[in-house]
Amino acid sequence: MRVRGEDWRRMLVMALMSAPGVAFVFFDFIFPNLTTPSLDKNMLVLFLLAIMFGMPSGYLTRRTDLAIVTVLLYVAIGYTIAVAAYSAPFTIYDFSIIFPGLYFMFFVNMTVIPLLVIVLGGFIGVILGQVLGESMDREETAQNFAK
Amino acid sequence: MGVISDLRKRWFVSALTAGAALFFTVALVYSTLTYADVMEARQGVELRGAVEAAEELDNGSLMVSFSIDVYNPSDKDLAVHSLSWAVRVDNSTDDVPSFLFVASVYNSSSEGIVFPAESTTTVSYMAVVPAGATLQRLVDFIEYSAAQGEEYTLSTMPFVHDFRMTAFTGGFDHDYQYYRELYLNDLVRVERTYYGGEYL
Repeated sequence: MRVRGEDWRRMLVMALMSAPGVAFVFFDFIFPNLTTPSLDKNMLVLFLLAIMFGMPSGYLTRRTDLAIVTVLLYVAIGYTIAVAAYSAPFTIYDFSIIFPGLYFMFFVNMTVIPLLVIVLGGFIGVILGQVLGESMDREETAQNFAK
Repeated sequence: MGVISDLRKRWFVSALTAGAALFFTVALVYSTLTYADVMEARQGVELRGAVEAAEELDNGSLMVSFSIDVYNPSDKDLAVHSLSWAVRVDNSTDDVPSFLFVASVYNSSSEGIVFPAESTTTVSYMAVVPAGATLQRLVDFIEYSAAQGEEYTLSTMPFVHDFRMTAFTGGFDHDYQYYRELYLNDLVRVERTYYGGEYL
């Protein structure tokens, strides 16, 4: 199936709306003592949030393949924002500190499991969002016929 | 544009999503600023202006005192975990260090000492060494040094002041459960030392 320009715009808008939440969750996972509010590395809450982040993509995108690409897109954007937040103080004080490989490896090492959970939760959220959307459409149609 | 009209049509979910995005954006910005403050404290806290003094009192006792400024430029308070001050006399002869104990003080977290944000706090200690075994060892040191050609008095002995501070920025210390979470306390811990005239 072809992907039209409007599909890309829709995916980008949805990704930009879900990305801040994903970015915050990654940042919170690496610094739970500094963030407000904090999930305190609770994986169950993280998984439920990941499902919630995926639901709008499924609800507002009817094509499942595009909704899944949207999940990958918002996770990528969110991860990038989280890395930027993780590096923020050093861009002010000493930029050279952020270049050594271990600095980013530490971030990747600490967030690899939440990354997988958020992608998985996002896929599940997409399916739930689509089910919810179809259910609401059916209800709307039934009400229209009832008039 | 089709996307916008679609979002308008499904306004309830769109508004919820936009609200959640706004909430998490604010939370991320606030948390990042906190992180920047913590790193500022880590790099910016300094010990300054140490003053060492020793005085022989009229009754023959020795009074030693020490004061030092703790400069905290960050936006967060420093919750003291421990402060320690020890003063000793350098009794080293060769490469192996050796000291005669004079006095020491230790302050723990239970005393609730806080160094406020964006301020300089002076920490002062004073100890009197009365006549007794400790003072007698110092007098013996003076007499032995005199026999070796080094003239000292109780107030001019080679004192070595050792001041160590450990504090947690903003009380952000973490009650960790796993070894992998130790870095959270390393992140917010500020350790500074003044030893023998040098700020380490």
